[in-house]
Amino acid sequence: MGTKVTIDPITRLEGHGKIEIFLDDSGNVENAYLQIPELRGFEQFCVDRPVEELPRITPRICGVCPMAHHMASTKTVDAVYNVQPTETAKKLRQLVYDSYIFEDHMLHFFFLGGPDFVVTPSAPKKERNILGVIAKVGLEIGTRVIKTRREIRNIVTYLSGRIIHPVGGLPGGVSKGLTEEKRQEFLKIALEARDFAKESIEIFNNIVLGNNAYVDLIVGDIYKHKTYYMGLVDENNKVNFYDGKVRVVDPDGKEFSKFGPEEYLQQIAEHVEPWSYMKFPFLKKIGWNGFKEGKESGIFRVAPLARLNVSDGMATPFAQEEYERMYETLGGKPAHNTLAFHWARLIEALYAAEHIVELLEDKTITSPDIRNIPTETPTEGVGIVEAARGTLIHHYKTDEQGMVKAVNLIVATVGNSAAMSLSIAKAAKALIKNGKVDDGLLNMVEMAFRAYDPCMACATHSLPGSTPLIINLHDKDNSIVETIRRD
Amino acid sequence: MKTLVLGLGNTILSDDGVGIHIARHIKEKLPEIDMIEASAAGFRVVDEIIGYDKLILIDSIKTKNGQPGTYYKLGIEEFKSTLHHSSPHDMNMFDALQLMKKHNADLPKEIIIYAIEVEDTFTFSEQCTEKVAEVIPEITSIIIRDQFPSSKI
Repeated sequence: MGTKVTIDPITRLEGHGKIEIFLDDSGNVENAYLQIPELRGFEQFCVDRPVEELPRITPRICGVCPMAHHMASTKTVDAVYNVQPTETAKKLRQLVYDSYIFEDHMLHFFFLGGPDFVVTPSAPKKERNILGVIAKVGLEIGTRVIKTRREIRNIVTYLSGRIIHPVGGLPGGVSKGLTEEKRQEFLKIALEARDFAKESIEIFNNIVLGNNAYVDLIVGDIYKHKTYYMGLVDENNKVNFYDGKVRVVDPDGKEFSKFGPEEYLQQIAEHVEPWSYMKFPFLKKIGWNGFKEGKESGIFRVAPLARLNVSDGMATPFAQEEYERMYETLGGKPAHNTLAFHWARLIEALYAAEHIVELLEDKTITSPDIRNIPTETPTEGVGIVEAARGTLIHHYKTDEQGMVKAVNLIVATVGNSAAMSLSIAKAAKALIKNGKVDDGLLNMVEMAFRAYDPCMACATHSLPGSTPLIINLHDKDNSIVETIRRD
Repeated sequence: MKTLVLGLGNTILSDDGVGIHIARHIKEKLPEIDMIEASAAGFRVVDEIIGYDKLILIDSIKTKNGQPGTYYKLGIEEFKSTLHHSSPHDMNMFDALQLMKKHNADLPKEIIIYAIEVEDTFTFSEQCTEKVAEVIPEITSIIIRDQFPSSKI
């Protein structure tokens, strides 16, 4: 083993992580891994608490996607009590949930992923940030991102009590309904959000697809893996974030399995590596065959591109048009291009906005019938939603008093953990040659996992809020010969 | 003047919640103040502070060789080093503030940060570690004395 290059922490992501790149004697990449710190003792923390507290506790796991945990948890508690939400409650939950997906995706596209795409991967690092994005798209677009997100967040705040620690979901329904006045007010917001989602796709078309260098990166081999894909679909096999069955397709796009939440343990297993606290989920029926792509490897991918790959289309007209255009451009379905996650994310944001409009145009959403009171003895349940970052699974067991006895979570980012390691290794091998490592190349390696929009150690926010980027260069004997610090 | 006390952190991750614990203590003693607690970062926090004249932010901090339980009172200018536009981490709160300013958002003119040195932010627990827990009452009193001098406490 030769030189070791450490990037610590991962930049432009909330939470800390580390990429380890091992170089051989000639300075080429031997292997690369993704590591994240461990959060300890969550199950133990939950045991012996009333199960109905979990929709309020689990959002605190993560400051990035509290709504995803709240909704997965609420659905799991429904299952534990064997109660279904009323039709109106289901609509209201979807309204809140689509609002979260919309604002989260827009935030990622413009402010987290945008620096890679809208600016350019090889731009000087002082331009590869939000302000660089604004300089490129114009101040007016930046203002609209901020305004539209804030207004959409108002819908979430109204219905969920609080946006950061939502409390709207209850077993069998929701805690608050929608008045006719609010329906009309929110519909106006939703129509504007829909227009803005369309315009954002136009921005992507002009800036990204209009640039051959980007298109080459998107369709090129560096950022491509043939894997299985997983995501929720509705009864027509259309993308659905809130409910449905989990569909898995193989690397040729053929349906491999389709299952309800209660079957997840028969379908998914988790592999453990000694060098990482993070587990690596894989398809049980295929098995774990190492960090490899292809049909023989049980590695699958989740999140926007995966959801589009497993579905037969989008349930709304504008998003469907964009869905067709994306696959036409990428040469058919499934698309294996990791950087197309950004594109898929925008199509999903458009779908979310269109669906919010549909829900709010339906006057029955103001019905006061917002909850079925649970009457059965609590036992065990599984709830699955599509978080912005992928399939999110909660599984609780309780005693007959409803006190939690066991908790298992498979969080969205972890669903992509094996694929992210694959992607980092592939990009590093292709880009780092003969020991030549510079900022631009490292950024392009980071792009390989940033496309997944991963959320690492959730919800630790110790100041100063960002940690500097440190690159340690180790010699053959593993001693540090040079430290490069980027503050 | 409209003042907001913002406790940042995660109350189920040991010391990560210290900022929120102190903010809650302040609110208990001064019920009339506006207080928000947030387990969020960056942009998602900045969304919450629009419309206030003054922000008192309380959070955990980890510095090299720092002693758990120590506290620092900082101004926004102390974070200039993390405000670099060259920072590749675009989502920290201070970058988000810069961005919002550029868009003429109605942000607090005065921002004071109380940062408490922490030990463990990776274990799920509602309790802070001993050294951090024991300074909470004292730091609460100091913040009230310094920032709300007209209160009778």
